[in-house]
Amino acid sequence: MIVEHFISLAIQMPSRFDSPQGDYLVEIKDQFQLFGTIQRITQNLDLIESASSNYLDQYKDIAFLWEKDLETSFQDFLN
Amino acid sequence: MEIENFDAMSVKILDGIITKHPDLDVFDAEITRLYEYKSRINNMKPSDDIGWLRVNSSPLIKELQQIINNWIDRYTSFLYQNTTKQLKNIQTFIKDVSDGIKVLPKDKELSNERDKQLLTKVMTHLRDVT
Repeated sequence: MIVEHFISLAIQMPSRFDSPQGDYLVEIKDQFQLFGTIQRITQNLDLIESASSNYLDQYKDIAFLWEKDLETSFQDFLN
Repeated sequence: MEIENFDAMSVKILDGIITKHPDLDVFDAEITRLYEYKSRINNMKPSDDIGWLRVNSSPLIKELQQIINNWIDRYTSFLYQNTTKQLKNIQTFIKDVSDGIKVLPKDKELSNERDKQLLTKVMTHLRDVT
């Protein structure tokens, strides 16, 4: 998202300095360093997503507390 | 006849009582399970770091504590209220029968309507406990 926003700046520039038409998207996309950074950020986000998912797993077995209605569950228990 | 007597007594004792429910062992297991969850929730860390992400779990833990207490209360209060109600019904039944059999018709010939009704009431009480 942050990277996409950064790239979009290349399109949002009103005009090129060296030409009345076009934008800087081609130049930005040609930067290997930029794409290396994008890849690192993406990998990091994947790791965070995976770690967050593992973190949420600790609540899995008590999910019934907010997923189920107390009164309905209790009536099911009685019957 | 015996079944009818038992029915008459049970109708009074079980008035307002929920009779269809699992055994106490099952209740005990369920309440114990909920208390274990409560203990786990109480021991959850209020803040945790996942890489550069800091998770503030305090609001969630607070909410979960409230919810688990409601669940525990639903199970325990059911047992308490159902048992208390049953005990009150038994007390009322014993009192009604004890008081009811004390007043006997004065005229053994049952010449008036009041004495007849009184005898019927006494016989009804005796039927309830026989």
